[in-house]
Amino acid sequence: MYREIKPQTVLIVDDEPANISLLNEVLKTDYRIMVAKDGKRALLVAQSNPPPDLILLDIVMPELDGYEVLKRLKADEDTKKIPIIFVTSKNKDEDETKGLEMGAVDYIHKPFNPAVVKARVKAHLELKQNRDFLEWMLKEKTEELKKMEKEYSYLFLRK
Amino acid sequence: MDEKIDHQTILIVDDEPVNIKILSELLSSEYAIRAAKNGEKALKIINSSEPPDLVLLDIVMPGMDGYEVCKKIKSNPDTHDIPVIFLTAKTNRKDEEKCFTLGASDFITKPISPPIVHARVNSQLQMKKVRDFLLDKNEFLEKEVSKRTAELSHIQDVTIFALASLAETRDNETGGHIKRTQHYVRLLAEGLSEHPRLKDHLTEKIIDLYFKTAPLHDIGKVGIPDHILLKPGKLTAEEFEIMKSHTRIGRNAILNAEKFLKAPAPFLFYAREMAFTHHEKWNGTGYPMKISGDHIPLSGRIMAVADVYDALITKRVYKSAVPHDDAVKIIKEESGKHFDPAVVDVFLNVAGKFRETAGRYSD
Repeated sequence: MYREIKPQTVLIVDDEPANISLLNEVLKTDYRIMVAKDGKRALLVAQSNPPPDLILLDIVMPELDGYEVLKRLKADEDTKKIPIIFVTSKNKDEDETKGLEMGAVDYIHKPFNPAVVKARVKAHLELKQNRDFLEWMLKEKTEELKKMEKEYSYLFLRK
Repeated sequence: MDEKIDHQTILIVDDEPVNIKILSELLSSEYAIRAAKNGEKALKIINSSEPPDLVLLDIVMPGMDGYEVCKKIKSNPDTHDIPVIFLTAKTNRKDEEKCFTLGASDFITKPISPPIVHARVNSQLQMKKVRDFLLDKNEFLEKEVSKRTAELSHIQDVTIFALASLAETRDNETGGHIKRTQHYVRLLAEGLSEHPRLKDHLTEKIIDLYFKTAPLHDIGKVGIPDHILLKPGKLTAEEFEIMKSHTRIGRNAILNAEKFLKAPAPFLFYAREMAFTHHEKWNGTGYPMKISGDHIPLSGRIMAVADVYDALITKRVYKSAVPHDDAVKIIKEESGKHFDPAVVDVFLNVAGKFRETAGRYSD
């Protein structure tokens, strides 16, 4: 079985260049990094082809905030399956409930602990990769069976 | 897959009964819950025959603390893959890092936030579910594919045999000829596989393919008119020319099958070789191509000896049977003329086994 393993892509969305650069430092050795400084650009990058495998999304941003970006990504068939982790300095329960209910997979709080960032990003990317792999494998095996069925039909009823 | 969600089990380990109660109320609608009040009891459940799918582990406990429990889970290959989430009141960076270095999947800070508990537990359990599912599914699919492969190979055998029998029925011979030549081919191929020049080519797999496809060598006879194929006497020169065409007819029929398949099919490849070249002679006086020596494919050179031996020792409408010893003598004399000397050498070595085979599958 052959399958090309490409490095996975993480999109970092934050209006603070300092935060982007911090997260980039932590993740750049393991993943391909893309960045966006505001919600509008985040949506553009997320809707590109191929889309990112995971998004780290700041909540408080001017104009389109993190909630709005998430809502739009979840409404789009092409991007709704991308796991989104909220990055926030807000630390109240209500915020977490709201974000998770809207479809975020987890939270990371500022100031960042690199070990936490790595662990949470890794967990969700692994989950996504396993799912993608599962889908790919099922497709591959189905093809294999189909091919065999074709050989059968040749042996049985030559038309 | 759905069944597994229902049955996923979470082990909650905490020395405070109230913490166990809160977490259990939070999670019991979606998961099966087990609880342990200290590290020792937790390990007993984890090492049992029904281990949990996830462990929520308090760090500060009397006796064995959470770090120690985690170390033990992660160092045992049987339990190594069970995800552990720490419950901690400590939130400094050092402690958080220690959780991950011990192999934990994540941590949840106390006082707990219900949505965060759900999110973290859910993602770890989903991970485990997908991992388990992948393992199961892969095994299932592998089995299915190998089952189909075996079926297919069986169908191949039956189909080859059915086709070959058809050709032979018209030839007024019996199934014996098919069986015998098939076994002669195997005997010769096995003997030749010890030859230093041939041992790389004549692998066990190739010998198997020779054996399987040998019955198709005369398949082209279905295209020969009855008055020639079934003529009790000697054929005229003109009739013999038509008779010779069974090699081309057979080759073309198999070639068409190959084209239909599109992908290369080794068993058809050797069938075609044998059908087309088993009447060629080592000295170039055979048919249809009049090729000689190594230009004749090995499968054809082998089938030539097998086919002639069988024709000699059996009675046909137009001739009587020749005794085994005389057949051996005739073939020996034709070494280097009709037959490849290397094949004849092997034949002389295994002639006894030819005789046994002829007895076992006699008409």
